[in-house]
Amino acid sequence: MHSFTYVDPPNQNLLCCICRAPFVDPVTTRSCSHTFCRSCCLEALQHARQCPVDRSPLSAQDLVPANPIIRALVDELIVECIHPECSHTTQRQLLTAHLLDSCPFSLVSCPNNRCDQTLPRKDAATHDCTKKLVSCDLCDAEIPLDDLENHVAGCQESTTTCDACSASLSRSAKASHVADCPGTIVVCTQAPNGCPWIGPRSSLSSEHIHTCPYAALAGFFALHRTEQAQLAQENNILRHKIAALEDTLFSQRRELQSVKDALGPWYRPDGPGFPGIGLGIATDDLPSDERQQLSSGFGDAAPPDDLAAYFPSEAAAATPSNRATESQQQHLRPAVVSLGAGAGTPGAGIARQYIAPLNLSTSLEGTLVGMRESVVSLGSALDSLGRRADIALSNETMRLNEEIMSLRASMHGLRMQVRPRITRSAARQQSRQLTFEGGAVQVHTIMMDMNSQVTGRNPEMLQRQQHLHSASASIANDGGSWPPPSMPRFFFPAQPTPGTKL
Amino acid sequence: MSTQGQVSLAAPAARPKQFSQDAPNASGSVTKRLTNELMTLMMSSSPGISAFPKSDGNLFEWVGTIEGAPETIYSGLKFRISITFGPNYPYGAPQIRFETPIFHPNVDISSGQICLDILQDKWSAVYSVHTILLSLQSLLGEPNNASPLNADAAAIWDTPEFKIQLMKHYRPFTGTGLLSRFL
Repeated sequence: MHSFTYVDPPNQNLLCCICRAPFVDPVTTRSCSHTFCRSCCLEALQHARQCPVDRSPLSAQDLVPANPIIRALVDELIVECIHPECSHTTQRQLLTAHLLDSCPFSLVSCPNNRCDQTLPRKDAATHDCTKKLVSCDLCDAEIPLDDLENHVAGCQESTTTCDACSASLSRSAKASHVADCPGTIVVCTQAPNGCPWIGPRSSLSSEHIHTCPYAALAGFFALHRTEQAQLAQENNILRHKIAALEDTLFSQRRELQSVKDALGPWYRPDGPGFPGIGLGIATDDLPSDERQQLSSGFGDAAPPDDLAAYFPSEAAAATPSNRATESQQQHLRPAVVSLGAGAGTPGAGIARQYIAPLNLSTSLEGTLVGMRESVVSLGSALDSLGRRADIALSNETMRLNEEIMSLRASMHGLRMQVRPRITRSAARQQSRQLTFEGGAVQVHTIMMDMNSQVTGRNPEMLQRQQHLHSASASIANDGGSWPPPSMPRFFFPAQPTPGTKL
Repeated sequence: MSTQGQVSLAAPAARPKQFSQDAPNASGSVTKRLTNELMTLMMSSSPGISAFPKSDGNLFEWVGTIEGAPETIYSGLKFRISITFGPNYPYGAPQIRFETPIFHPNVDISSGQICLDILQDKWSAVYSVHTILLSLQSLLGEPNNASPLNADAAAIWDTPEFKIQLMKHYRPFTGTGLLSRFL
């Protein structure tokens, strides 16, 4: 609720019946045309939603601004200023402007906008602001009043005294003064070289520098310094080189390791320069760390003993380079392969051929040479085996030939005995057949028979042909054909056959 | 008019807040209105009713006097009432009680409580002490016997017995100092 102090008693018609004072922001109800202050009416509606005068239903939406004439009448009422000290009176609508702009008793903030204080406007002009800017007497800087003391204490233009020579000078010039003040405590110019002297600047050049042992050696120090710098530079270069070499060494070591892995058991740490040194001796001679490396290298591949089981050893075939390891090889269960065992002629006197063992203790080259020798000896053994097989075969053939010859001779004897009888019986049959039948066919049959015996062609085929020609011919053929058709030809040496004789 | 209140100007928000005063003070506005009512009451010439604050320092406790209207049964009798204003006055009704025992159908004889609609649910912010006192004065002559607070009184309202009972309970108050102080 707004409170104004009215100079004259206001017209009763302009009073709000709720606050009993002239309307402030008057509103009129739309339904019943009663007028109230807006705030009074809204407050009353919160207690009861009806018109305070006639109790008709009412809501805030039914309120409209009052007639402009009413508004003008109440706004133009003359009121006193709210400040008791101020005697100013004005229209109510102008009071706000008066308070804001001209009332000498209105509180305003600091005119400098520097402090948080508020004060009546009439006092603003004489306000002794603690934050107002004042200029320093010594320098031209603008300083807030309450900070002036601190500023003067540290002002660059304030007077101070040199600590060394007690001369009086301004603070800003102190730094340059100290740099060349004769009283300033300085160290010797040879301090970097180790001179411990400390004293006033004035006595440095006049007294100390003549007696300073380091100053006498100044030339030496200069030389020494350049030399040292060179050495440091050289040292740096060498350090880089070492790093590069270490890198190379590392990569080579890695390469070597991969080569070792590839070589497996043939890797020889002694190298080819010590062919006669055995494995065990070599490892004994090596430093422990290398021996460990060596054994680990072998450990990655199959151990020599295990491999040797697959490659039987033979002392006789050992190459000269591994003679020293023969004693080791002896226990490797030398396996002997008898090459002639499968030839089928046990008594043939074939020498047992020993295969050279795979010598793991020699170099890879030595192993390759040994393997080549084994292949050569295998080749020659195979060759002699072939020759022996040839001889055995030819011997057997000769023996069989002799047997065949003797059989043929006895066969011949038998034939000489049988032949005349066959010839005779054949002649008888011929004569008999010629009487019964035509002689031409008979003669042909006999001739074919003889011919088949000579040529070795299938006599059964011939017989079938004969059956086709004549059934009667089979009778004569059965009875008179000798030798049988199955008999091989070469058992009948060339001699006059009965057919040819006819 | 010497009372200086505080102002909350409806100044544009854009203006500096250098004049910002206290927010509208509820008790301040109530005091202002009660002062206004007291002035009105003293300047009005309503016969038979009057009211004043009990003490100079407290405007929220009043004491009033109602005289029975002429030609009613209460004619010539004066009754004292107490009026207590709440902080939400005038939006809420004040508490009113008869200090003088009164034999009336709508007033409790022992506690002095009044059964009147405008003092309860029919209260409006436009009512004032003056209107309340006038209403009470008319209530004396025209009781609402339909909703009696004192059933005995309502029962014998139209009988001669009522005047006997009324006078039996009536205790004229003596203290007129307050009234004489203002008149």
